[in-house]
Amino acid sequence: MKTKQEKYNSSQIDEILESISPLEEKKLRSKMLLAAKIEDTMKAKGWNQKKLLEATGQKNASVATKWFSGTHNFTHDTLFDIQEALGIELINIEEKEFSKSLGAFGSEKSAEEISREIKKSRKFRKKDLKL
Amino acid sequence: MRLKIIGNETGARESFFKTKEGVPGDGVCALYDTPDKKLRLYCIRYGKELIIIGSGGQKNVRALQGDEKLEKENYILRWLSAKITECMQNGELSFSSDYMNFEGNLIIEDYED
Repeated sequence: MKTKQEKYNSSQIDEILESISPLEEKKLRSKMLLAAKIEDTMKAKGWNQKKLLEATGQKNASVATKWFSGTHNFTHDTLFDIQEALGIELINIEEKEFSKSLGAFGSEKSAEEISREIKKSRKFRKKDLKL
Repeated sequence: MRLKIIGNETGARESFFKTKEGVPGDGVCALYDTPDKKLRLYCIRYGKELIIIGSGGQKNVRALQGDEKLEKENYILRWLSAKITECMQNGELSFSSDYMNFEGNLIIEDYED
């Protein structure tokens, strides 16, 4: 006899999830995805933990376990070392992306491109200036 | 919250868990909040796609056998893992085709402390 599978919903779990702020959730998600990105890139390059630690100048072997745990609070310097070693982008400070993140530019165009277009649109031909 | 992100986005990546918390090969592992903190949630991990979540607590002892509650929670999962393995070997239980669930019968009624 096969019994039917039942879905179980827990109000206690719902309560716990509701008690965590969206910002906290976003932070945790970012930590976990960052860890996954580093580990996946390391594996895609055919590297093991030892090789990654060597490439980033780390001496403590257990540090990789922390990096990949999805709970680690990386410092800027560690992230920088990892991104340089793996050749991926972990710290994004490009002007275009930075400006977009501030909401300064809604379009895909770079800040320079937008500035150029504004200047160009302010140039008037003589015939446009008939008063 | 970590479980929600695991379920929706990352999958149960081995590196997110503290492995080898049971007997060799039984898949019993622990999910911790942060490596330097003490909270342990015991699970049985069947690859990235499927985990069975048990219970746990704060681990303030060196070996889990030093804490009655942790030992109990951990041993329930060890027992369950052995039971699942037995049912799979008998053909009563199998993985679904996408490995995200079990199919078949698993009647749990004979667990004793």
